[in-house]
Amino acid sequence: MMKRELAWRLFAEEYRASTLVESAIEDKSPTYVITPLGARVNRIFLAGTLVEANKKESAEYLSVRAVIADPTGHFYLTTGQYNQDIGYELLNIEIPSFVAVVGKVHTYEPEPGQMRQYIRPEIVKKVDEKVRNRWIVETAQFTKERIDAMREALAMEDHSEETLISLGIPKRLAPGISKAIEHYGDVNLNRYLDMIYDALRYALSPKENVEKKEEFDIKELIDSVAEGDDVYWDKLKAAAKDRGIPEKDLIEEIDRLIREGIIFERKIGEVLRIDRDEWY
Amino acid sequence: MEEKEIALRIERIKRALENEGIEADEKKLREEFLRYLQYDIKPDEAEMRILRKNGVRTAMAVKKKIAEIGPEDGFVTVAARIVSINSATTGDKVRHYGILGDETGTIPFSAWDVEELNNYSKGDSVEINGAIVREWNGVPQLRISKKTVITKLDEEINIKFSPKPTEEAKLADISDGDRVSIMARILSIEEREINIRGEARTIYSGIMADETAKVPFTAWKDFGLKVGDVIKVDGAYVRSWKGVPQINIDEGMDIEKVDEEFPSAEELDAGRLMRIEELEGRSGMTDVMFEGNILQIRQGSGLIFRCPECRRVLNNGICSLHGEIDEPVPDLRIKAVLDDGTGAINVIVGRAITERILGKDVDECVKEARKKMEKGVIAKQIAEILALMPVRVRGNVVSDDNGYTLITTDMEIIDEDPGPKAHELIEEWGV
Repeated sequence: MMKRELAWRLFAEEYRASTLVESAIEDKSPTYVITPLGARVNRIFLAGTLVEANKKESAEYLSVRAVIADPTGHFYLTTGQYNQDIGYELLNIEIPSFVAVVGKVHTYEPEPGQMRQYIRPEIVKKVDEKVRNRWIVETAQFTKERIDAMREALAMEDHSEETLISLGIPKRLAPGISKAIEHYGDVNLNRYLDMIYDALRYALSPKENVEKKEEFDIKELIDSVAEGDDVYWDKLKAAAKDRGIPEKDLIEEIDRLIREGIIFERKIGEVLRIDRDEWY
Repeated sequence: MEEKEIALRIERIKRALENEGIEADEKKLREEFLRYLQYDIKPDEAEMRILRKNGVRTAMAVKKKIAEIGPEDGFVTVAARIVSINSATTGDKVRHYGILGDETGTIPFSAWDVEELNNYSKGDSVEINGAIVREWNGVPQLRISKKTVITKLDEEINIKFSPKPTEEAKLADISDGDRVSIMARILSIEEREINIRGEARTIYSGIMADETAKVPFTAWKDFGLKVGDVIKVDGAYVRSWKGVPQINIDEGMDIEKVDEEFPSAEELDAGRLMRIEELEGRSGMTDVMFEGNILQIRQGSGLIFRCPECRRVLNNGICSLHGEIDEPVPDLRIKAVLDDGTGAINVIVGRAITERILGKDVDECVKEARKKMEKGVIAKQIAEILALMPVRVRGNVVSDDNGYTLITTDMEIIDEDPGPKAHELIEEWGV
């Protein structure tokens, strides 16, 4: 019997930053997405807020796209012919609601060099805030474990799986970390430390400590740093920082614009391009 | 040579040949065998020569005491007492395994598809002729094959347990076939009558624990053990049932009650929280806890019907053993997958806990299913309550070809506020 794939706990930001896919070699072997922190993910378990669920028009069968927000960004779900029942369920959950999802990774490249990270849900369920908060705490802990393991691995010259295991890095993490370093190189770990630190605040009770999100005009911000139609991420982030806009809010807004088709990533993590036809 | 022994040896040669598909004439074998003896060939060698002449590849089995057996020995013959014998079935093959002992020591044995071993049990004294010596982890073991000849002995062979010091072990680290020296507290013990081939015997079994694990044990003799005792056992042997290691204490072992500092029964009895990935390399665990999410409710959950004779689950009212059943017995259970982010295991939940989770008993479930004309409604309710929920489970982990399964003794949905933990982590990681 094939061993059941474990369900990884990771935040949307880490999942969405993934650009490495280990494709199925044979028909039945699983596909893995390898994240910048070295999670080698085939199955994922998440909890967050369902903010969108729409029928896709063209399909002959019920196909649903849904968006789930977590404290760091968004997960995108798609259902198709083989999980139409879950499509119905998604359409019937009130928006917004806290939901939990277990599902499989699914990616596609609209254009070479671009990657979209989706999830094909196996089970979706409406849950209460406690369950969502427990997921945040647990996911923060697992992410911290990956950050620590990654930091240790990056300090080594040899990143082979065997070396990592001999360092005491769990077997569960070693293969993914080894591949992630090869692909992503020197990952900015502090970004992810900030991310989990911010995320944890959403799980505090009472929520008094959570900052209220500042409203800001994303288009105006983009315009202020745009060079023609190109927008460099680092300049954008610097501009946001100057104005005191938290990075996760910036990323959230950019995610929204990408989803709306107004901008797209010309080079993942580096350059955004504005689609002027949609801009105004 | 006595006629009885000659007959025995001829029978043995005949069987060995027949195992190879060679027809043997008993009269001719006897003549041949006696001729060897006349030429001063020892009986063991005579047997071997006859077999080899007939194309049966066999080395001469050297008669040895157990303590003398080393990895360099090819074939040996031992007279020994069966210290333990177990069997496991894989597909249509039966594997026997256990421990043999004589006055010099003990040795593990295993046998594939040697049906004859079904006729033997713990305590029998036997001669094993032509066992293959194999080394495993530096320890010699005996492999009994179809060609090995086993004869029951009338005389009783005394056992001396391994004189060499056995390894000191924590209970979490023991595994099948080990001989260990352990220190543990008895958490429970009960007297049981068992029947070994018509002979009643009293054994004492229960649970013992150290700070690393709880383990079931069996004492094959009355050592006067009581709940709460802390004992040291030197040379205990480890046997697994469905992958769960168990300690066996038998006569001849050094066992003493000690009065040292040791965790209290209460501390030892508290559940031990594990990560699923920590199961790797182990075949089973007694009384452990996991926290994770139920990520699948499997087929066969909910309202099921059992055969009143054998308790097998019926398929469309039919028992695979007893055919169509007029009065099936309703029952409730949950089969699910638990995932804690480090791994996934199957969990099986019995009726009592399932009733508690559903908030109703099996009779109400039957009524409800009858009303809706659909027994699947109960499985659906279970999924509504449990799917994706965080749970804390406790029980025994067993393993087989399908991986690990937790036989659940307790399950609860985790309802604590994770806020304080989030706060603690922020403090801990904060800059």
